[in-house]
Amino acid sequence: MKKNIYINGLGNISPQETFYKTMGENVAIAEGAFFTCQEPNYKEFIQKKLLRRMSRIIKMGLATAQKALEDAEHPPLDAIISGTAWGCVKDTEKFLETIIEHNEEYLTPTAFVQSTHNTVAGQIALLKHDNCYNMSYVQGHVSFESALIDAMLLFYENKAKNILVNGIDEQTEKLGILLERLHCAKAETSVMGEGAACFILGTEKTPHTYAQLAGATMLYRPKDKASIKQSLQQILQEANLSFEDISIVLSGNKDQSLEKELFPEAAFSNYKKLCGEYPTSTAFATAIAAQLLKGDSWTKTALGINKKEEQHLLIYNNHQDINHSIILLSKVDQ
Amino acid sequence: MAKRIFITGIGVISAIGKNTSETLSSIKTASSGVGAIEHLQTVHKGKFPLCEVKYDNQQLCELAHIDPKTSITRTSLLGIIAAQEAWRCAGSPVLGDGRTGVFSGNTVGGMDKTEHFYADFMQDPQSGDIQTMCTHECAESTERIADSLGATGMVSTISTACSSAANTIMLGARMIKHGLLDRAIVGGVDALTKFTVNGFNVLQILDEQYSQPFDENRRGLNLGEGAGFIVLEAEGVAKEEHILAELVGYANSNDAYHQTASSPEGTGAFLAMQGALKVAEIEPSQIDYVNVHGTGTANNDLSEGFAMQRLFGDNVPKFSSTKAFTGHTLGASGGVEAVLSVLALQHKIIYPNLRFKTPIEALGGTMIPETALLENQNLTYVLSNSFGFGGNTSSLVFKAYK
Repeated sequence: MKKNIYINGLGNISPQETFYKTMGENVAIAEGAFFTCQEPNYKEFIQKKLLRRMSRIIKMGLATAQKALEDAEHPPLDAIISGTAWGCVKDTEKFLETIIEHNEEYLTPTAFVQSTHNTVAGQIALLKHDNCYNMSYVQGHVSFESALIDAMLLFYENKAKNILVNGIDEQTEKLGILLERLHCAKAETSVMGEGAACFILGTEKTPHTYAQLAGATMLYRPKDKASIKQSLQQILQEANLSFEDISIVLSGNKDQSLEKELFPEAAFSNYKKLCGEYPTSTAFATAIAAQLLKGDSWTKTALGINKKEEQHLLIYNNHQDINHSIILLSKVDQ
Repeated sequence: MAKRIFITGIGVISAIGKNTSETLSSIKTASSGVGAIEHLQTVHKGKFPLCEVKYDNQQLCELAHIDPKTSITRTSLLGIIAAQEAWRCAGSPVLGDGRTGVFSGNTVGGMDKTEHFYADFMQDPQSGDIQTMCTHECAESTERIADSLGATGMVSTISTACSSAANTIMLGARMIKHGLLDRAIVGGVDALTKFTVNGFNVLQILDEQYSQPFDENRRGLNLGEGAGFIVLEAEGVAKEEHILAELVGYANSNDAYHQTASSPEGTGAFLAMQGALKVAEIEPSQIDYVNVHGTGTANNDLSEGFAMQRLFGDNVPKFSSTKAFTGHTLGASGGVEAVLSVLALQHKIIYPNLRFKTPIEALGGTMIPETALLENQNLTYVLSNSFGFGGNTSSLVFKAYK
């Protein structure tokens, strides 16, 4: 059974001032090939003794989860679903380096234990003493979308009323070197980013609701433009919308010819200028889109969107024509 | 009315065989896959045993019909071999219509190649074959598997430690039930790496001898590698002649007790089993056999044992851990054991829990697994457990197709 799904709380750590504000008055600009997060004071959210052992991604994951839960006024959770492509990079590097450096001796377990891809989802459950459904998706550039689709299914199956979903990826110095060597990271033309965005989704609208999650889908190696168009058509149709109803498109793509052809009336913005390129960047896009649909003008300004009225917004990201991601959000009338 | 989910194909590779029939005959002859380390380059060679797949990467390329010059991880090779077998078993259906999903679980992706690259990289950040890093992510092997099958529907990867594969099976079933897909190829794969071997070693849960799951004197687990995949098809899509069994129950829960250890009372395990039975709409007494997670660690077997006693009361069904054969194949284990569960139903057999001698005292001395191969068993429902780090607990219920 299809259901209305709302974004009722969010926490967003990004290269912008999005944690304490909706968006900073001064938009941060990447210097060089990397865009790193503006991190909050974690002591506000995590006990000091726990903080010491945690790598950045765990801190970011937990702080955004706490913030999103607070924002949604702590509904009981029925599922915790994480999306991350790179996982806990720092802990993985740390353990790998010690293995190589000390020839497989004198190791300690912390980095290994925390290197597991489901560390953040597990830690949220641990922190909340929550036995509910707990899942972690690691499907590259559609990791967050996989998590969203799982959440939507749980709602349709009547298995959940409130679900925590996040998209998290961290940069490290070593990963940076690798990305430069792979020609993925380049100053100005291909800035690599990172971020953690967490959402509380619910089937009930609240006075704080940001927006409605009207649809999400992912395509694997679509054979041509027509099949992408068909998928877009389907997701719009399921929400009783047509191409003309989309007023804003947040695109993650350098080449936006397809979306501009399909949505000639919409305002366009490339959200990656605010967060850089990283696999779960669509989670950042979803967070700022939710703010925008709730009427935040700072976000609109940062995105360079002048449209006065916005009802339906589409996020579209195409990673190397392998993984395509489509997320549809609608404004909620309070 | 929700559609029934049929299993129409199975494929497996592990230390006890490169396909389903070898696996079955190893079990029937009680030949365990545990042995001295041969392929993995590690200083621990000779110190503790592993359950390695008995082929090097070159040989695996031949088995997978892949040019040995291809840059490919052991993870992808194992995954392709098992997934291809499952697909052939299902009658080699054409998968290009976008209605077949491919979901795979794994824990360390292409770490088997990464750890070699990283040694060079640490010497000089500009050295080492940088293309290796393109095969590092967990999703890479899943995409290779999907491409090898020509599948164009949804593709995704789950990494929830040792319950990863069980969770992909659940995901596939839910997607089909909801009409998003007609068919899903689901399971998991993991290759042995220095990374995992050292991780489990430093956690002090590796057995220096051959493991003894559910035994009072168990000392830990033997790590293994492999892949296990099954083909799920919707009622109406599955062809009668290919139906092997039915997937009727599935659930995931979280123990929320500790990052690596299970709670003493097995809360997560209990909730997962209970949830799976609820989805299957059956009573605990209807379960005929439990393929337990049974790693052989002090902590898991005690906690899982308690959870089973809580669920089944005095009537604990027949159970055994097949990890004494295959080792703990981590992200693949839920897939490998799903294949074994289907084989049990198909062949009416229950597997022996090798090397079991003494029941666990803390469980009242009554939790005694099957120690010999049982044949001609009247099996209807089989429960399979998979638990992982991060408190992740999953259970699946398979039903015989009669």
